[in-house]
Amino acid sequence: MREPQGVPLPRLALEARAVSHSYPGHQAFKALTNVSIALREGETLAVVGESGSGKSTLSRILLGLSPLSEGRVLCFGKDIGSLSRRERAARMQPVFQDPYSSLNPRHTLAEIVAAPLLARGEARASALNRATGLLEEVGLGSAYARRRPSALSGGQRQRAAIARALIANPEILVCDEPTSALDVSVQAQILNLLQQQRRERKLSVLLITHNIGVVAHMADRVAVMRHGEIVETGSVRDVLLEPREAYTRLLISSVPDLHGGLHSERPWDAAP
Amino acid sequence: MALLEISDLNIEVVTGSGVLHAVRGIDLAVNAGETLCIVGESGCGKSLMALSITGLLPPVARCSATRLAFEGHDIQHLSRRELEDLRGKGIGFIFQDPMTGLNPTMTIGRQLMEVHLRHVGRDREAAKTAAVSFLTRVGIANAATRLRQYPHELSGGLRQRVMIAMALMAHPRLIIADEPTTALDVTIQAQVLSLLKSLQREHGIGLVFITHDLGVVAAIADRVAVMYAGEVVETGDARDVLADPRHPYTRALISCVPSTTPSPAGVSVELGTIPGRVPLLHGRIEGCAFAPRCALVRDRCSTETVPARPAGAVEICRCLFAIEKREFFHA
Repeated sequence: MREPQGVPLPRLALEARAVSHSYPGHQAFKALTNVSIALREGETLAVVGESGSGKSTLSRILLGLSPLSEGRVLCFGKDIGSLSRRERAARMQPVFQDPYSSLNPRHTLAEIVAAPLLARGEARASALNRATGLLEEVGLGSAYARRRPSALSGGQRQRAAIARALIANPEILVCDEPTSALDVSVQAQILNLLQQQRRERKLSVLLITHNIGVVAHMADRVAVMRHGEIVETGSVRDVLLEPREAYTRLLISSVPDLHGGLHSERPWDAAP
Repeated sequence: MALLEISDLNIEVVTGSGVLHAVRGIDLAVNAGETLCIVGESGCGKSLMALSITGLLPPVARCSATRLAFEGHDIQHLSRRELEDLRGKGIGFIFQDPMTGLNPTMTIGRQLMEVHLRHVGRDREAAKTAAVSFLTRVGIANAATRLRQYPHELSGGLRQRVMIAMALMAHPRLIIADEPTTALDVTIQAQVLSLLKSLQREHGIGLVFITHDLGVVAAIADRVAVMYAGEVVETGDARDVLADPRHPYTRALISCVPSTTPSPAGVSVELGTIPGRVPLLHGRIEGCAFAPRCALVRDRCSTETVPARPAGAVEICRCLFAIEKREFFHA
């Protein structure tokens, strides 16, 4: 851990303490081993790693969607197990990778976005009204409120998924690969939207991704995962510009960077 | 003479809602030993274009071209048998998903040997030796043992290496790779890219590499063709196009890509975006297909036919104002 000294730290929004996890029937294989991370209030913490590194398992455990084998998860200091489903939903909301499977195809966008409000007993008319307003805020005009997901592009669906996550005014967003199914021009729109909403709503964001460019653009701090363990944690600038661990260096140097690639030497350009 | 020459390639796809003009008037050339990257977003026609070169288009697609030549010979009217000879021996193909490119019911060895037996020679022992040799060359350890394994027993990275070995087995002069690293982790991608480049250098193979990742283009391309809505909108030396693109779409696309270098603390950078959506490709598109989304659009853009012509260091740019707009870009 590399942290600045002498600065009072903000309180913790979400915390994993020594979390380990095995899937039922695969006890010998640990999907997570002794993972500790802390999302501070108002920051974006990225968890980055390759396939199978355990980052999605970690996000499901932090959201309370998977049971905990070992360790503790705290949401604003309270054990996540002690919170009811409704209490959890009021404080944190997920945005998933695949906008094609995360929205109910039989409902209109307004109904999908209003679902968290309806679930906690709000009147249908006012819930749908607020949902329509929020759809506009995320860039989907009121005409979209009555459409179903099948009539939308991937980027529009992800906007709707973000609206659904935001409608109950959560303090924490957990975004699991929110743009990896999207084209780069659509990804840019969604990242800009997430940044704007984060600033306006003072959200704490846990961002799960394999994309180093997205980490560099969005995150304040980053945790690098490999084989179910946290390899390195620190500010984005420290970790990406001066990585300490060999694996972090390998991961960063493997990314073909459009902006860096123009200037850096390409190994195969050297004469054989 | 270019290894591969394509002039005025058009592909139409018959769909439930009418005929889709998926590829419209593409001109391209690839030289021996050269890497041409074809970059574009979903639905721009890059994969269909690649399939059309080797006659692998699905039955619902029709293709026509004024010239489609490999090593100077027209390949448009080849018989099925001649096309099968061309595929493998002349042109190797690497698909995005090795799970669909490999036969799940056959061992890796049998599939590799089949290529040798079909294109190189009938000697089974020689085929086996070649299979082991190519697996070793693509960096697979214990190649002789691997020959007895089925595709599902290998990881994604290993399967992609097997696909590359298979594409190389018949000693092709051109390899077409359609997003071969998109499904792979970045560390494996780096290995596969490095491997492809060194094999290309060793054998002087021409490489057509299709990707949506501009970072990959910057890493491996000699030349790049940027596709939008079924057209090539800009072609040129990769460094020229990426450093000083002349087409507004290329420029906008580059501005959408987040840099892997974080900005200084407290500095928030907004990514560039492209408003609107890709046009529907049913029917004829008047003027420039990018005009409705272009930040620098003018009246003439939506009415005049846009010629493909050189602009500065860029070989070809399909924009009426490629030169003038540059002033705006740099303002």
